[in-house]
Amino acid sequence: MTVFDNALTRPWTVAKKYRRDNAEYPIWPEDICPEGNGLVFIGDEMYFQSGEGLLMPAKKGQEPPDLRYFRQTQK
Amino acid sequence: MILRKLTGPAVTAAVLCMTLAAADAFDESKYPNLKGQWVRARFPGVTGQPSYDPTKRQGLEQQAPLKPEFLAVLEANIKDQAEGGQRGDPTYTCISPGMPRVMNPYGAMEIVITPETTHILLEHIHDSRRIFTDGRGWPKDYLEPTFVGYSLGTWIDTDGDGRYDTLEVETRYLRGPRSFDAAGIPLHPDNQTVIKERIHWNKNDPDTLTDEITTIDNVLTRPWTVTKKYVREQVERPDWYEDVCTEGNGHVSIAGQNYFLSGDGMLMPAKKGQAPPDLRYFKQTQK
Repeated sequence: MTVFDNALTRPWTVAKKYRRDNAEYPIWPEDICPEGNGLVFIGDEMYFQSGEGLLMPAKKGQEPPDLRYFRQTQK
Repeated sequence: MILRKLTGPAVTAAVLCMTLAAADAFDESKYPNLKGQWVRARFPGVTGQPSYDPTKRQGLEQQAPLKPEFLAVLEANIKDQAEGGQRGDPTYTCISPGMPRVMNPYGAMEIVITPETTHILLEHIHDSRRIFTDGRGWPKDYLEPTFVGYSLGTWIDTDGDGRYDTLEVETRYLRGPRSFDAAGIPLHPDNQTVIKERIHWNKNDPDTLTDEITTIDNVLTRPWTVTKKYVREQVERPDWYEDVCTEGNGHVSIAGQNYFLSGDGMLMPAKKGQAPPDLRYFKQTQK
């Protein structure tokens, strides 16, 4: 595989290798990234969901999300 | 000719090998020509999001044969959605619609036939299906259920013209949450759904495909059968658009509540008077 990209100083070539699973009826697991994804993106900030589903800071001292639209609708 | 140089048992062996190789080869002419891009056929007067019975609008108009307690679930889902919620439509966070809803495709569908497996490739979330046609039975050991389930199929030549025209499919081993449509016609949380299909290609109308789907589920009073219709796009080299559900999805789910992201990227209530999310963990870290 050779990638040409403007981040690179030259084409970058690598060889990947794949192995065939020799099971007669291989299992095809389902992998759905958004399911159970603990990351929450609000604007440009990334937060985390705790085990009980509450929003948590992902970084030390991170500000909570701006909730101005909740104040407006609750006036 | 190589065979002229072989004699006796060597010829027999060579001919046998060639016969076996031919038997293994994929004879495309035995299968229907389903190449190209298929899209959901539209029915006059049916507006809104794709529905299970494509001849009627989603939701109550479907007249799903629901048991009374699940009709009440549907009515509650519709009420919640009218208030801005997403109840009953688990795909709003971009988890797969699962079967049978994936067969109400939003976008284009590609069907790839091999002797062992027929692949139905669907964009949007994570909707592609493998239908095993190699004669295997149901798994003997535990199988992890999936949203699209485990599908076994058999190709049939219904008119005896030497070419398969119908794929009979049965799907089991499903998981949820799933719904029949975006309005929230529920499927039972026990996930014991069985779905039977007859995907039929008519050689006299080769650019139309039908899928007669019967869903057997514990929310229903009886098996629910509908016929879906797909049409082949009449372009030589169709464009296959990329559809990544999570990209630009404005819905945010926090602690089971649905919120919305504003155009400027801020969290908004999805319903009138909705309380903001609990931010207790921010107070703890800022002490």
